[in-house]
Amino acid sequence: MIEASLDPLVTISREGKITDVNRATEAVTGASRDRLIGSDFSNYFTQPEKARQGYQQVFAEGRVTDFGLAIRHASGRVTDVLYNASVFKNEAGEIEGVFAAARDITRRKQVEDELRLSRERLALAQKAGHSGTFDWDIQNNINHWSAEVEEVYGIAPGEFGGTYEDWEALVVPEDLVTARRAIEKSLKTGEFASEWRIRRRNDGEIRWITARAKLIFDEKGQPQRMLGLNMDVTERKRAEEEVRRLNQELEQRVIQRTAQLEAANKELEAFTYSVSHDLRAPLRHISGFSKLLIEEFGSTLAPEAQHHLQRIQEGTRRMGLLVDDLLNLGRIGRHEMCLQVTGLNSVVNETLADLKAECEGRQLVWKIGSLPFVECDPGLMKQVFQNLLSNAVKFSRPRSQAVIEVGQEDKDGTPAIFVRDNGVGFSMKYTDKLFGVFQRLHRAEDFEGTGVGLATVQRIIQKHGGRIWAEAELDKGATFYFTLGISDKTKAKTNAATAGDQA
Amino acid sequence: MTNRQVEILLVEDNPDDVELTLHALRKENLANNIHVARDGEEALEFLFCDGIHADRSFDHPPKLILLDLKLPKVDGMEVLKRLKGDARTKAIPVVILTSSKEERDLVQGYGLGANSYIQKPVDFEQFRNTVKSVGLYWLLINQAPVVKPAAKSAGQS
Repeated sequence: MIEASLDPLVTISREGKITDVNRATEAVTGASRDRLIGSDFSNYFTQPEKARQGYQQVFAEGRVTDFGLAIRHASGRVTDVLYNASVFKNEAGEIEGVFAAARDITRRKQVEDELRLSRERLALAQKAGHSGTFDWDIQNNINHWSAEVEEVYGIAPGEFGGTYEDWEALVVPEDLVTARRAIEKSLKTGEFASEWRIRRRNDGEIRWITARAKLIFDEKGQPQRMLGLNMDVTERKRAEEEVRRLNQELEQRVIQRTAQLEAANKELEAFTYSVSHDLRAPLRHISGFSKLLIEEFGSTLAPEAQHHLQRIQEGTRRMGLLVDDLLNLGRIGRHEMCLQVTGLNSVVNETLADLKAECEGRQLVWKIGSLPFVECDPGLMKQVFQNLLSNAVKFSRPRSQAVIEVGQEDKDGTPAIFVRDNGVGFSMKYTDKLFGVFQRLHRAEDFEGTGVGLATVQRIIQKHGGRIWAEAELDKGATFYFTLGISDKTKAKTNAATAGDQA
Repeated sequence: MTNRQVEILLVEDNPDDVELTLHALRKENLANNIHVARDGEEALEFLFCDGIHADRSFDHPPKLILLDLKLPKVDGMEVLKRLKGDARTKAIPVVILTSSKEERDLVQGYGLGANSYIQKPVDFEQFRNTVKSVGLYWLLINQAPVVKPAAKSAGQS
């Protein structure tokens, strides 16, 4: 029976020498039975002195109960135990020794330590989180607050009165209505959540409290207790208020800026409108009267005078084009995009038909590849091709056989549409000037133009969220690439129309 | 025909435009029966036989109105609105002849009942062709509306 016990058992002689042990004792000490028997029992404790005291106590009182000691294993491991011990006698009734049984309480001690630790942690967390727990016995109106709740309310530890009314007295009166309503509701739902302001008792400061709690009901469904948390959220509230204020300010600023922008836009619109109307009229008059001068008095004018009049005519014509191009550029900025899924091949085909007059008498080879369907404003996209293709036709004029290619190519992982010609090209060092208004890279005598076309193209491409750039070499032709940023979900469906259409 | 009927009412404030337009019309012999109103107010008085034109009668509406938009006093859109909104004048064809081809002007002009909208070309040759085509179309090719029996009888007398 002794062997079977899981608790370490031992008998000790009057002289303090171990006389018998069970297996459990061997296990807890790490010493063999042979070594244990005959050795001093106090050798195996962390506090031999205390062990001997206990031993003396057994002789003095006949027994000890729950005497706490710690056994040291040969490896150094310590086991907390409680001893129950009593004397035993021989047949003659003389005390022969002590019988002692140890109970391993290491696990219990661990649990106790952990519990203590987690209580301390909770208190720390509550303190750090400006929150504490409360437990309100509703039937008896006893409201127990943790020290942390008291601190939140600015009350010295243990000074809270402990009733519902004591709590109400601390709440800002205007907030009581909503808080009471939340309590009433919780009596039915079992869940409590509310917010209120308090006047902190120690310094009178107004603080925001957020509360969450659960209700406990008896078997009849009567609410018994409310258990929950009070948290001081003043800092959070202030931060929220600050965020709200900043947002409002931001919104206000956006409204202001938008209004300014709209005003600027309107002004620009008014400007282009008046340019459209007011600049064209005098131009028309110069053109008209100089024409009439030639018609009606041409025969009486010296050839030089006639030449001057021709220059006036040409000048007004050019200025007319310029004004119209500029107005068009301005209009694109204001133009409301009308997006449609459009096959670019059909746009190119339409453009080519319009270019017939410009191509007359030229040896032109068109290589039109398969272009995608894209979401774009078809009217604006046509302007893009009108400009790019007519440029290609124009700048390839010196070639006995001009080759103009339109297609789609992968550029740095993005599909780009390109228009390529074998014309006069340009030096790449001027590439940044290419898309500026009135920027021209060729002399007017060689190639006519207003210098607005590519600026217009760029404006349109940008309006579509895309990018345009050019690669060229002087006298070796130019390639214009552009992408469209707008989702080309239909890109996968490549155009059914093929290059053959262009023949 | 004692009271010679006005065939074209030209509403135009700019004297240069008036001269060039008349020049173009004259070349096609379309300028004989033309009246020029130099602002919107005068145009309305002419059409509604009012003010300085109180002696005119509704029996002789012009066959065509060439209307500029930017006008002193009463602007072209207002003139258009008033005459298209009145049963006595709404049948008269109105061609807007202006420098602007702003979308809002186009939309508003047609919305108010203009019969045609033409932007004056800068190039005089084109301008002349345009004025000629407009004059020929509305005066010779187009069948004029019969405004009133009275107008007819007056024309025949």
